[in-house]
Amino acid sequence: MSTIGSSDPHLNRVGLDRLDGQVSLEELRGRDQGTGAGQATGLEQLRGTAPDARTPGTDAGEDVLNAAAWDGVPDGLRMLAGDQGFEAQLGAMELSSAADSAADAILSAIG
Amino acid sequence: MNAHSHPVPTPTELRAAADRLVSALAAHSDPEYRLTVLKRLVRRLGEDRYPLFLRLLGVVAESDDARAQRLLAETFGTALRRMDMPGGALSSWGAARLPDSTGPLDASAFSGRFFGATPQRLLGPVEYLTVWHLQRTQRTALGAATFRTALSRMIALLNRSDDARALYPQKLAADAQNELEGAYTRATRERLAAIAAAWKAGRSPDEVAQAALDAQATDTPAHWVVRDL
Repeated sequence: MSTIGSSDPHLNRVGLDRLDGQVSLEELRGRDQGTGAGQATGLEQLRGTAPDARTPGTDAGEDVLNAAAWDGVPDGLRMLAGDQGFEAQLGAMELSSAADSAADAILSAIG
Repeated sequence: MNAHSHPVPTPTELRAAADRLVSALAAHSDPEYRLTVLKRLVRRLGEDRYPLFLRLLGVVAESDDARAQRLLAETFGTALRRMDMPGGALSSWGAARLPDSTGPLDASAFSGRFFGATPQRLLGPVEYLTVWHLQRTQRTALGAATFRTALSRMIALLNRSDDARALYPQKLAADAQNELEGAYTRATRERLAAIAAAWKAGRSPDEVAQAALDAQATDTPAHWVVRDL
């Protein structure tokens, strides 16, 4: 695919399509500069005050990658203690069934 | 299932899911079982939610739990030995996914799909992040800061396994030399080569991620018109 015209992958066709045509070049410039109230709103979202809100102009997957997990947990105490009951339950199962149950349980934790 | 219909997980949800992931891996010592857990999790998440799988790996990487990190990293070592990575799919050439709405369709929704199925291939975590950052895919491009942070965490995690630390850079270096398959643009191959070289040289995870961002084309005369192939 030729990059003539723009080498910025953020300005690809798919990205613009997602804006449903409701965008001007000035709006894109403002988004890139990240100034004003829009940026403040985005920062609040990143801090987890609005977990279901999207940061404008970013992929939903990028918002997930930036989701906080350990805020408020001091360094040195960030342990994954595990669930002994769950582990024992899987341990008693045949391997393929255990793998299925494991995937289900992990997904159920994140809704 | 579309990623846009899922809220961003809360910290509690992310830690609970990572906790269960580690418990699931620890439940059996069979390496094939552990790899199967990762692959089934990825399959259940689906193409759109592969970044959530990457985030769960990141949650473990950010933890102070060396045992959990070794469990995960060694499972990736198994995946690398078998050349069977729990990978995510990204489309090539800016092709869009088929719309999942039942409402009226805009013609632009089919861009890149004129001649049949969207070309896709499964990419391991490092390759996925790199392609997502650099190439036109069905996703909006990953920002540089998120790319650097996520890649650094991934490498720190994988370094917990001797196999993963040795084999993953070798795979990336081999991928970087493969011009024929068409999955990677030249820029992507250069970044993969930079990651492989820095990783093999024992640089820190942050330095490896920065090397990926710093890698530049050096062999193209300035007046050339470069096509992103």
